Amino acid sequence: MNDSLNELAERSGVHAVFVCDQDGRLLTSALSEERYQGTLEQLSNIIARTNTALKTFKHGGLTEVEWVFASGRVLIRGLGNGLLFLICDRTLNLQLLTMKIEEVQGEVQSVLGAIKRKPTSEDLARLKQAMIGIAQEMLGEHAEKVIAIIKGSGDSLTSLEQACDQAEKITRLFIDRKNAGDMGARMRALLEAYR
Amino acid sequence: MADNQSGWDALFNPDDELESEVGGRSRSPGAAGASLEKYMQLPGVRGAIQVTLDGVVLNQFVPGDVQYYASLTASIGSTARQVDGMLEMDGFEYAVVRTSDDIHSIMIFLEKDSFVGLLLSGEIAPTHIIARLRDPGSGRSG
Repeated sequence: MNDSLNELAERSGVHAVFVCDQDGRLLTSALSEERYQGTLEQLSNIIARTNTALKTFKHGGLTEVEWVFASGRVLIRGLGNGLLFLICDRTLNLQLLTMKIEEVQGEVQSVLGAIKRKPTSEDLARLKQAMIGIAQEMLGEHAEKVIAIIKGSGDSLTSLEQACDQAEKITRLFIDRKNAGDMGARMRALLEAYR
Repeated sequence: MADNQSGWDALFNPDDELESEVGGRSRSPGAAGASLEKYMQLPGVRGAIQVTLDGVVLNQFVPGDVQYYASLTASIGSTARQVDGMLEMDGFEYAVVRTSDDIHSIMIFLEKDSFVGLLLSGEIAPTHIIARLRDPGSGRSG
């Protein structure tokens, strides 16, 4: 998908191309003008909120929007699970660009369906709680040390994976050799949804 | 004007054609409604709605779901203003939203302290509307 987005961004008059999911999380971007870097996330968020609001009507969310400003255009295409954005010159040849967008749109849409989103801090908190639940279920009253490892892990997917490895190792060595592998596998399956 | 009027009759229920009602507020077009009539006279314009910046309907000549067109007009208009500020685009001029219903597209722009949404049929390009609006003879205000 990135190659296609880069191709679009390299076109004359196009300054930025980016894709966000339906919750407004920026998934990927291709920029020919770095000045937009800091604003893309905020922009995704605002427009995804508008999209969600409009989806409450039977007519559905945004499918195609063009904003025309004194010194530029912003084009948006709704792609089921997400939105494709282009920031470009006001004067560029829109018909040619639209043909290229249509070529890219199908590819972006299929990739969007497969993209696993980056976990938010709320997601990470839920993951931690679910891992603790697995430890309690499988180790019962002996889960205390494993719970402490999970609670003490940092707020990132990598930290949770490390905590999972460590919990499995401790369990195998000191708590329940038989169930250690199963417990680790169940915890890793939770994290896999975000990989 | 005569052609436009016959199209008008086909599109709207005569009982509620000049009423707007959102959130319990209802107004007849009156003097402000006259400002939408000038848009209705443009070729290819099938409907028009004028809402406050908060989405309250001021006037409407809309076939169908008034609340949807009001929300669409206000949300696309106000989001455009935020985007303009964020990207430093020097002023919002207009937006075009393609829709999945039988209206081909909706053109939205700011007029004084309100947003106007024009429901366009497929055969009219928004650039033609802009050209007509910029023509001094068309009588656009704001």
